[in-house]
Amino acid sequence: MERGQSDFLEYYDQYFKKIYGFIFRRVLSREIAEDLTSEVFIKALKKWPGQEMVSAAWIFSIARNRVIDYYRTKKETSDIETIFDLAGPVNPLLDIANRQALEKIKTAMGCLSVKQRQIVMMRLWDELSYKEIGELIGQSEASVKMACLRSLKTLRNNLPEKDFIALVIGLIILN
Amino acid sequence: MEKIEQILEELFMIDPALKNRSTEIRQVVALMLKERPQTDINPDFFIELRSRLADKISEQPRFMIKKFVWPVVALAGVGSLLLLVVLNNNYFSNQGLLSSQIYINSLSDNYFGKISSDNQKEMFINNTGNIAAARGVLVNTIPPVGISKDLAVNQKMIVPDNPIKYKMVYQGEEIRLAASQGAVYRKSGRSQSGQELAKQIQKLGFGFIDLKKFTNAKLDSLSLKEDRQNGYVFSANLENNSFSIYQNWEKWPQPSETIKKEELPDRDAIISVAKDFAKEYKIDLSLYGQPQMAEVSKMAIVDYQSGRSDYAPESATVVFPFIIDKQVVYSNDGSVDGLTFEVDLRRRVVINASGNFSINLEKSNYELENDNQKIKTALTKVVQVGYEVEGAREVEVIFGSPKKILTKIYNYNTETNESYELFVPALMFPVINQVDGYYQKQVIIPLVKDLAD
Repeated sequence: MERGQSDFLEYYDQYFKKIYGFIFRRVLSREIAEDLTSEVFIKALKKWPGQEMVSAAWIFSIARNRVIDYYRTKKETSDIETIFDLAGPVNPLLDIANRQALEKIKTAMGCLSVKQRQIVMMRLWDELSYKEIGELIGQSEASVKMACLRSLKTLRNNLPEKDFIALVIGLIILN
Repeated sequence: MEKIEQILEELFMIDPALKNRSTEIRQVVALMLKERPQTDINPDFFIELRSRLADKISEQPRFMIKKFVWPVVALAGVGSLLLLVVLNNNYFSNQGLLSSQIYINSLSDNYFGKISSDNQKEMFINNTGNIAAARGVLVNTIPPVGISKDLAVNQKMIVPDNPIKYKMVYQGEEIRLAASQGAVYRKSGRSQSGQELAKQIQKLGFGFIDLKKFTNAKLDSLSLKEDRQNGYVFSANLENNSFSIYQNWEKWPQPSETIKKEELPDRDAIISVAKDFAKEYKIDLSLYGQPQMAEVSKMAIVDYQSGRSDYAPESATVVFPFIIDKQVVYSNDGSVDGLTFEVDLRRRVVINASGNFSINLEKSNYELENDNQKIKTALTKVVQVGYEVEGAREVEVIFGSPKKILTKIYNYNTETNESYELFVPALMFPVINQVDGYYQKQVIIPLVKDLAD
């Protein structure tokens, strides 16, 4: 066993909920989320370089790639951000409040670019820091922060005030 | 709360005009957060995946305690008989009498009788009353559901000038307690190892006496001592399948100086010492999970390095957690239960190891508490650390989502006058905020209904 591998379960405990949530919010199916989460952590274990060597972005990048692969296999899309439109509110397991919130968010997010959507989702849904998002998408922390604020401002300008607040609240409650 | 503020701050940066409606927005956000649906995490899935990962990590060749091939083995009590066996034919590797095994015998429901007893409650209460006593006590078990708040308060506390009372707040996910029944495990004392070993020794003969004349003989214990510099003593109790390895004190030099901060090894290095020792002596770890440092040791090192304490820790404990049916076992004080290795921090060697080489368990289903409100109520009211006096400052201790575990308790049967070691389903709640003077890291609540009656 490699040095540091003993820390993997500690790492698992720390990130399980976030990774599961990250995946669940993109596939909106508990069964699929469990399958993909298992695969992500098994892959992470195989590649495990030791706790000192990894950031949150490391495991999120594995999860993100796995979700992309999942949709590629389904031949529906290779763009993870359009998953939003695919998994959407058709899932009957979601309750009415969730479905309504999701519909609102879907509509509102339509005015953002793919990258802007990506950043907003990671910031508000996945609670990643700007620095972690930067590591994940290969941009500096400052540029991610500006992009996020620009995205929210775009949303703010394109939506009535009450819908904008509902959007942000919706993002929070779906988190 | 922090998250709400953060989101609001971001909102206000985008549109400062929204500040005028901050109270209204904050109320709505708080309400929505309170009512928000959880990301639907199945706790069983979390445990099952964790077990699978632990299995993958520990996928190594299985070892048995094959041999202690030491230069000179000194005679020590009854156990000295084993010397003949060891020298004879590498007996353990062939027969596996001391091989690492877990035997679980399933029995009918409620087989162990009523688990609750006054002794049991007293034990939980005493643990709780003592939790503020020492810096070194990091975790604790609270009284089970149903034990009154009053019972848990230590009445003999001396109130300081600025008393604090702690308010327990649960901020985890909705607790899902689907199972109405769960397995309780009882450690069985019945071990065949001693009888089998005795038979082998009787076959060998003992020179001056005919051991075959002893009928239904059983080897109780054995002890081997290394006669070399930095040698060890191996001791096994065949009654309860436990073993320990410790320093042969005559052969170990004693340190004369206190260890310096910069000499302290990091956590990985400490764990590696324990793992290397297990590998060298081919100690079977298949009953146990991934090693971790005991919380007490972690804190002692951190305190010394940060200057909070002048006490220089000379050793640290590494625990390989005991796993039953893929569940980690915790002692009732909240520490991980299992195979322990004491590592000398200066010399970076193991100075003590102890645990079970084989475990016999009986398993019986019991009714579990599945009213999550009762659990939450127990959590928020039972742990009483602090001072219930007028003017005491109230400080919140926040608990996060629990995980399912097994916790070790002792149950005394008044009819048979016997004490049993039980492993019962429980929830372990982590303390997720840092509170001055509050050193518990987690709290365990047993779920067996008997304990609530």
